[in-house]
Amino acid sequence: MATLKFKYRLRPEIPIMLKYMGNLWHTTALIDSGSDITYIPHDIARMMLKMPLRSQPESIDAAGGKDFRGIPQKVTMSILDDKGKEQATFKAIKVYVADRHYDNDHTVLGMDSLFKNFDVKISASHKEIELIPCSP
Amino acid sequence: MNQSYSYYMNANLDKYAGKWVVILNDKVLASGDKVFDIKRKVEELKKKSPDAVPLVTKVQDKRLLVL
Repeated sequence: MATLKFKYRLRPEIPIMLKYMGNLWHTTALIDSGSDITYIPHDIARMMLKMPLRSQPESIDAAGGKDFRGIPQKVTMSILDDKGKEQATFKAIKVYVADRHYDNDHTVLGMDSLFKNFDVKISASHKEIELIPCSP
Repeated sequence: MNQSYSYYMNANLDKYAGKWVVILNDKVLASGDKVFDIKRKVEELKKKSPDAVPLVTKVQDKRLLVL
């Protein structure tokens, strides 16, 4: 797999596709090396991916001394290019879905998915992201 | 997604900052403060054009953010 390059606007984000039981969602996701997990807003999981969200939620610590509850799920995640073509696909990625609606929520790719598979270089001055596939 | 992501990256979307948007090619089909606000448009599109895959995302805003 070749190095993937992206431009970004305000904060580092990349185009992805998530798939759950035949339901597709094309979106953008923030890249966050400070996050252990990959996170999906509750409303998106329920309305776009039609997840049943019946698993037991787990407690997750967040910045500011807050915590919230996340429901673990498995999805297929693809990283897309700017034409929407799949460049890398990872099956049965573990994600956490918020157990309820939160205002100003975001999709976040953390250490367990993106950073496990790629060395991530972010140039804030050029607003560029490079995903370099990790050697097996 | 076709050209939707390119549009998202290059268009001036300031008026949608902080909102969820549905983008198909070079058009914002719907926007709203909550996913619920755009859900109907996504479902309509799925029925009308099953092969059309829109970009459904939240437009970043300039408010300070810590995750």
